[in-house]
Amino acid sequence: MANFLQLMVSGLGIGAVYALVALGFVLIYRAANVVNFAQGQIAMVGAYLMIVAAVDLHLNIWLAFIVALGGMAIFGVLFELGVYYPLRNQSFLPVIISTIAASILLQNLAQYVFGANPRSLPALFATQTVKLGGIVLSVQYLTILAVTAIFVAFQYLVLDRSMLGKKMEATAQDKDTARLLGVPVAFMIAFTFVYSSILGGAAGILVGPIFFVMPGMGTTIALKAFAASIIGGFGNTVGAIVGGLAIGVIETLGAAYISEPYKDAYAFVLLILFLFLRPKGIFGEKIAEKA
Amino acid sequence: MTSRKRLLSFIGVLAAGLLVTACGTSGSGGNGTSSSASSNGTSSSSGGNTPYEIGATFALSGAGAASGQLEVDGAQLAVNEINAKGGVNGHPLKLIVEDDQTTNPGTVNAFSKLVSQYPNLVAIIGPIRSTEVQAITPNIEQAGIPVLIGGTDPQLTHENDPWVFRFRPNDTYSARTMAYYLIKKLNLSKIAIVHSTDAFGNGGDTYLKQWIAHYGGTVVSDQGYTNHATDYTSIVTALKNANPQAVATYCTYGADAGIFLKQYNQFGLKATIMGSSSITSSDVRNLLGSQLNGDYGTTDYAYGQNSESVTFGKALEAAYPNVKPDIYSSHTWDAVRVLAHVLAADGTSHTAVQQGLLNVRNFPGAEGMYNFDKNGDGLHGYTVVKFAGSTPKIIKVFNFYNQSSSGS
Repeated sequence: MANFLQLMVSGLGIGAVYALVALGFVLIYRAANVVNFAQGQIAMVGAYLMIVAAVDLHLNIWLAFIVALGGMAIFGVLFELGVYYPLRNQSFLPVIISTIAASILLQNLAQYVFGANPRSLPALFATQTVKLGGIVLSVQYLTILAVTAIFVAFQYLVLDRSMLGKKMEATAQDKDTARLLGVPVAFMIAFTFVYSSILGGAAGILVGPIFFVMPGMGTTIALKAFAASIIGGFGNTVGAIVGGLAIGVIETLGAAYISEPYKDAYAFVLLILFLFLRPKGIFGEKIAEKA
Repeated sequence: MTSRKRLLSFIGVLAAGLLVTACGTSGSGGNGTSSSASSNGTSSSSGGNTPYEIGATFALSGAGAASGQLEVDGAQLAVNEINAKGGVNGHPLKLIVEDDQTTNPGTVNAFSKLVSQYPNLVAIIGPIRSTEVQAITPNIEQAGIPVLIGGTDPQLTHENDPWVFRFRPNDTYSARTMAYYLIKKLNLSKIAIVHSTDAFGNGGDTYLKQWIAHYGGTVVSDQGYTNHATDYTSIVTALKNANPQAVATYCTYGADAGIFLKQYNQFGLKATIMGSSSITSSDVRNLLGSQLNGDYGTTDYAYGQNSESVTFGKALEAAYPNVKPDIYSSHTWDAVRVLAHVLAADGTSHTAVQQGLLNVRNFPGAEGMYNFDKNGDGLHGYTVVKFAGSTPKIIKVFNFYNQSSSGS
């Protein structure tokens, strides 16, 4: 039982990282009607910004966290202007190719700027583990869960209930009508990119102390997060979170009780099952309401 | 207007793609050393003669990019040293590096490109990862060119391919050294194994189990993981349940070993660690620092294991101030020097190099004394080190070639 609880915390922790990245996928898909395949690399950028702030500039760890997230907001604007905005009137295909190009470009730029050697990122808390009876829990995983909970709470309690959230929803449902009603659609899409970049950056910063930070760290996260968003129901924010947590838990428990070498396969077996049996995902595709 | 926008978009994507390609193939890796098609022609007396071209497939991008740059550094250092002394019989050496992208298809492409575009290559320095060597085995046979590999899966030189020569000791020696030292010297017989599930890791796992049984030990847990795994909670939990006295690791990538050991320490496990050579790589030492204190490792390169290891280490640190000498840079330094010796003594045709390499005896390298056997294995021993802080200290050098070791 102790082992099971320990595994559950790790699974939920890693799942929360997938959830944050998946949420970024979904929000951008809803706002701009494109899939941003650079979402994993955005997490990597966040982790490197944290390295610069906390390690290279020796800022206090919490100040570095805020500075890195602020940097991600600026990065989100630049990303939107460079990757999406010039192609905003095209069909989704050129934009998707543009995001794929951006993902490769970001990974290679990171290697060019920071080198290929993995780097250590300090955790937000100095204590590494806490013991509860016979269970050893990683403080970093608990931190990931807490920060993810804060982001999710912000999503539902603030963003979805505010005028800003309603404008985001209107933009997601029908851009032309929203524009006629006075919603600044271009601004709302830019805001979505900024918010998604912050979410992705937070995921990278949180997972950095566990994985180490390296240029290729975003690829695996993005693949799992993409699978999570489809399993949850592409376009559905609740689905992205539930899908991410589900994949984290299933792969961790599967690795422990079935087979570790096939750990990466569990997420994709689940994805294939969903595509065959319930292509709309657990919560359905909210974006379908557009029609 | 729309067509203009489309054109601009196309140009933008094309430019991004070209930049990516440039980053991927030249791979300067952040420390400014030259790589692709580089020679640095530093020879003073050999400038007039045609250079002898040595090809190389190194990982300059992808998951192994950190190690690939170290391989370039080692090889380029040897080339520069030899050219500074006048080259080989008056001919400077020229290193031509292709990026294998740390993938099997990338390695096949890099190897094919070298063979097709550079017809005068005297030899090719091949990958350090066994799975990538496996991928190009048919191409090597077809090309008929000596390939100097660093992959340590024993099978790579035991499949009747006369063109493959190994410049690191194979895994039967490392597994034997690890099992012997844990069981016979440290009296730890309940051993768990953690290994990657590629050719290197699975091979190491197989030989480790054989030698643990040979020396009277027991494998209490055998845990495999796929390369680039990011969470080892399930493995650490299994190890905790198995309660081993020692954990032997065969990790292909240093970063994987680093993440595993970090989580192992975080969860408070105390069994003695005995790592295969990746535990001594600069990656792991930089990442874990003093967390390695008290752990053991087997390695083919340890500073001070012989006089050449010191010569190499000092020269590398002088040439590349932020680079620590390790297994990645040492085996390519050795490969270029052994090859230069053979080129000078036996000639430059592929057959002459092949026969010359087979006849190499008692050539002192940073990794050990090179004595090639009929299979093409040049080295036959490993060094056991124990970490004091993040520095590996030599405990004992085993050489199975001369049968003089106490490890039999």
